[in-house]
Amino acid sequence: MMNLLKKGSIILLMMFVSIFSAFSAETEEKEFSAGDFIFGHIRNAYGWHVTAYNDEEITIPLPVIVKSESRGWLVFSSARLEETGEYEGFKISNSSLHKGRLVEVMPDGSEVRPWDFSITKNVLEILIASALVLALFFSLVRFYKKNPMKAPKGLLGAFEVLVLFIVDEVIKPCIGKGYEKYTPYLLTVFFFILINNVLGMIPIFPGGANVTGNIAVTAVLALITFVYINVFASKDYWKDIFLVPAAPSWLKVPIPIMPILEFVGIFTKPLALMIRLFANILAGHIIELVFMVLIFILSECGKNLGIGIGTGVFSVLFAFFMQVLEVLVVFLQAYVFTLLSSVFIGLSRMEEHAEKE
Amino acid sequence: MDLFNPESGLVIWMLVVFLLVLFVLAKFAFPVISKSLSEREQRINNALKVADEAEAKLAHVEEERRKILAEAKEAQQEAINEVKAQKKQWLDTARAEAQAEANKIVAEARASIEAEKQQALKEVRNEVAKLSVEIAGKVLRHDLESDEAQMALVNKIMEEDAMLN
Repeated sequence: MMNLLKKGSIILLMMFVSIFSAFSAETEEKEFSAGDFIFGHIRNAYGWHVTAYNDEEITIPLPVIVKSESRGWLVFSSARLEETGEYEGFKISNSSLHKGRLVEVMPDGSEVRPWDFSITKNVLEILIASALVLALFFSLVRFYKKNPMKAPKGLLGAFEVLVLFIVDEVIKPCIGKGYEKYTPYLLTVFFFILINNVLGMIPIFPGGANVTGNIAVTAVLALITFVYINVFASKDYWKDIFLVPAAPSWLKVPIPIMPILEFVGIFTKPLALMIRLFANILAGHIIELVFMVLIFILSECGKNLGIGIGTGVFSVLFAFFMQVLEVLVVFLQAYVFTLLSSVFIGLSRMEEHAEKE
Repeated sequence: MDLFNPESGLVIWMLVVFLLVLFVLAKFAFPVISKSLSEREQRINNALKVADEAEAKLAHVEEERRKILAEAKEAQQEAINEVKAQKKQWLDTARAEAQAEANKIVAEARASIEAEKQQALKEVRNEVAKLSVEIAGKVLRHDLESDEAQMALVNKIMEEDAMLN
């Protein structure tokens, strides 16, 4: 028995040593940059990097579609960019504003961003997530058509519970009468965000893209919410913004402070939605990656087995803790986006008599 | 900084894909889902209502049953009481009638006895009178040879007798 334990511990120790020697061997070859590693994972990319195997990077190539002002449309595989980061006058930029994006190098050396309709990693992830959202809802539809008046069981049952929760606990109470017009959007946005968040937590293809932590995605969602808030808004909503009957008149008459604030509020509400989702998901990804990277950074500093094992255990524990927390955040951020959208829409639909009540 | 600079291509793809998903779901999925859900909810509500009604009806029936039972018991008691009263009454009348009959019989018997007695007395008196007359005749035969004298004596005695009576 003791013998077996000793043998086991020796094997374990050897495993640790071999892992660390492998790491140190890799880091000796090329300088390890924590920043590049982290931001490489949270940035959009032209190809979908899966893993490295035997020093060979495995990347799923995706189509690059660009329209240059001078040369028109160009379509090529992202694999062509991999070796040097350059192809036919295009290169991956290193400037702060366009880092990681394709730019056209002009004859005078300046970089111009072309129209870029590439199916990037994030676009593909959006397509995958959309397919999943559609599959979920249509399997529910198929179930209803096959078994009318029955409640689904299993995964579909859980999905239905979630749908009912969003409709009954979020949309109905927040919007009130006439909520039916908004349920398609709010349900779609909830499940779109939720599924993208969940996919973002899976570290390997078809997950791992940082979609909801990308400002372009949250900006589009916030824009649609903005449209839904303002297009169907009631008369009283506009009256409250431009006349502000609740504020004392000295805040309105010489300089219309309150109306200006209220008007700015129209834009800050969706802006807050955009930033909140983007920042929360981005922060989650960064923290998770930082704990992982910590192992590599500290192993580079000390080359000491004790420090290496210590940081390894510490990082894995904290990364695990953060991952568990992120499971909550994944749901919470989708819920908060839907809830706040519903609240803002509800505010835009308030009627004068409802206010008095 | 690039993190805060939205990619135009991604914005367009996202907008197109999301709106497409939204359109497809709003057109083909949500009407079916919301209809099914509301139908199911309505059906459950209906079933609950029916169950409530049945329960209320059952309670009503139970109440009715109890009431009927109580009424039947009451009627039974009443009937028993009535029968008892009737019996008592009958017994009373029968007893009274019997008493009256008995009284009548006794009275009749008494009257008959009285009449017989009077008759007997009369007969006895007549017999006595006859005997007396015979005795007296036999006694007086010696004194009263003539018929006139005999009759006058007899009448005299009779009158006295009548006066005595």
